[in-house]
Amino acid sequence: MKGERNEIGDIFTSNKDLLLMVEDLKVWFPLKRGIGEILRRKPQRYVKAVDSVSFFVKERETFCLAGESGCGKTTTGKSLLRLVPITSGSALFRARKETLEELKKNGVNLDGEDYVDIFAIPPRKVKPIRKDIQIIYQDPYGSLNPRYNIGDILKEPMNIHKVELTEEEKMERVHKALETVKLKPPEDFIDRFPHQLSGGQRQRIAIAKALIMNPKLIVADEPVSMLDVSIRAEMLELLQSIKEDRNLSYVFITHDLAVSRYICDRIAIMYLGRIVETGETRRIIENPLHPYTRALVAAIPEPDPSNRHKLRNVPIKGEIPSAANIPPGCRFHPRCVAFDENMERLRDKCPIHDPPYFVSEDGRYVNCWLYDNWKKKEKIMDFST
Amino acid sequence: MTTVLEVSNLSTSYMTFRGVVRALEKVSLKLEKEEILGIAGESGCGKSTLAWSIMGLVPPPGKIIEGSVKIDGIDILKLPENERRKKILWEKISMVFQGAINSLNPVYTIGYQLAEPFIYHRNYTKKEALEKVRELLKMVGLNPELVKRYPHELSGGMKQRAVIAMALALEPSVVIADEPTTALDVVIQSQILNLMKKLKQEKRLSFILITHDMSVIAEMADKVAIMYAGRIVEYGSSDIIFNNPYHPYTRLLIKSIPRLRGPIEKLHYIPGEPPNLISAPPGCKFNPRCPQATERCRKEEPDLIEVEKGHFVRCWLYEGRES
Repeated sequence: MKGERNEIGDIFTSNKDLLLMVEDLKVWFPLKRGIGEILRRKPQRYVKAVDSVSFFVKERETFCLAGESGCGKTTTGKSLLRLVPITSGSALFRARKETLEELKKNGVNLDGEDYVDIFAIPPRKVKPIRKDIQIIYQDPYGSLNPRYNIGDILKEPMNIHKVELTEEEKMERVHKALETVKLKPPEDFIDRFPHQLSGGQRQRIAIAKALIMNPKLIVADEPVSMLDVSIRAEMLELLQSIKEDRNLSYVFITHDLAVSRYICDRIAIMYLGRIVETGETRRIIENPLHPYTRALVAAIPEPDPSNRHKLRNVPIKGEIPSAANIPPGCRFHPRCVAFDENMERLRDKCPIHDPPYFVSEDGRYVNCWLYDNWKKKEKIMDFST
Repeated sequence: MTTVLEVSNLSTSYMTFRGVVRALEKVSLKLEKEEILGIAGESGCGKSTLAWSIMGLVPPPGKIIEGSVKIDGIDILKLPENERRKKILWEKISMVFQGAINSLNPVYTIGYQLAEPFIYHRNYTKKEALEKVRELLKMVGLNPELVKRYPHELSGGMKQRAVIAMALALEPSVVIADEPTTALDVVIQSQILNLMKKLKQEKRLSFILITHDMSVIAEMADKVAIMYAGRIVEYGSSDIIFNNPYHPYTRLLIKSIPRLRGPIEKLHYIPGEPPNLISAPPGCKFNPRCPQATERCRKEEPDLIEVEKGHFVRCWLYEGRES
């Protein structure tokens, strides 16, 4: 184990444009056991919300986690801020110097490196990391405290992290953040309460709140899903311009592949706690390889009125199984149409063995036995591509 | 073509403490047999109020101020409440409510809940009703054995199918579907939309499909009504609305849809936000956000005029182009 850790660390050290590298993340929630199960010594069962997920995010990149509800995309995002208990895995993150200093002062062992493994920090000492990684939630109606005015909402992160600034300096920062999210003039907003703002304005406040600590990475969990389509583009444009101005990176979580196409550089499609395909967003949407991605792309309606004359053919069967009861072998095989078509070749693979990742020539990783003639991905991301 | 539903000059307001919210202003539309009419617009534009008003089920403090809803020539808003419930609702027109998958009663089986319309409207015995329910479930692609299951045992997609089955129980000619797929994942959404298309053909149904998702409208609707601030601002066949819209609002709305295929063009957006319907601006309600607004738009409100056959627009730009 130690050796592997070092190997990951070496890769991370030698690729300076990497901001974050998550390897083999597992978030398993234990199920309550009945008295009968305990007496009969049945093994503990888990809801495997995230099951062996690996990905990386480069500096100034928007990386997208996409998939249907229950696929583990939000849990993966939250794990980066340590908002869910981590079962296993590592997440190397190039934090800012001040943050690393603070962690060291709190007694976190960094082994003299210029990065930190977020998942290895003891639970009580993770707070400084949340200065560098912030989150924007989906629901701007639920994520702002209704009893705080906008000024207090935006000052709260600075108070929590005990930023050493005077009250005026904090106010200065609040003004700046409001201007960044184009709520002008800021004086008009500071004394208002969330219920006095529209959905779009609230989401801007949520973005301003995430920006106030000057993070390096923002986890944006479906930031535009609740907004009307007419203002969605405006919000995406705002996120894009903030990213360029501040050299930020995003982990953008969405169920909407059409949105991801406009904002994300790379995408990972998740199914039942696993990334099934990852690579450049446009290539994946234009030419999906994994049978699940194919179904997902085929299912998305388009604003073309000639579609009304035909039925949409989505190559998938059945319904998504529970994450507490993941099928053996490839977790997608009971719903896979390609498996039925290639029964001869795949019969002793898909139902029995969990597939590894296979790498295409253009650097896409596909978690499917259909592509077993390609180069197999070794344990660690191959960054030469 | 036979008209199955005709709505004329329907206005609905909510009498709140803060003032009168004029949620629906003189909405008129027609629905033909075997047609899907899509109603689209931003949240708060009155889409759901329109659906409730057509059913005569506006929740208080809402009130229908004027207008008529004619089904098979009968003005259903003039009927007394109990007669409307007995003879019209579910029999002639039914509705799949928004968030309907959460409206199934958790303590009754699916079979019991779907059997209710047969028992109360048709005086079936329980056994006969359950037999009918099995047929219904089969029709929407569910296992008939689900009659014995409780809602929590079904997935979201199955519940949505069950709710659609319920709306079709008494074979109405018109079904209003209010955001039928909004809470569902895309794969299940496409299955439900396919189901609705099939039912439309097999049962010769007419649908009013209400959704904020323009792509779903394109996928389903023969005709489209675009609503803004409680009014229909453009109405026409879906080919016209999507390929050659006239109203500035429709144009911007179509340009703001993220597309999955084709070249990535810059997405447009509509600055500002919809007006508050208690104190809406004078003139055209879209004028504060409209890039082509003139002095006149700020003062006078345009009428809905027919610019081509079957294509209506509410905008001063097309004045004098009535056909």
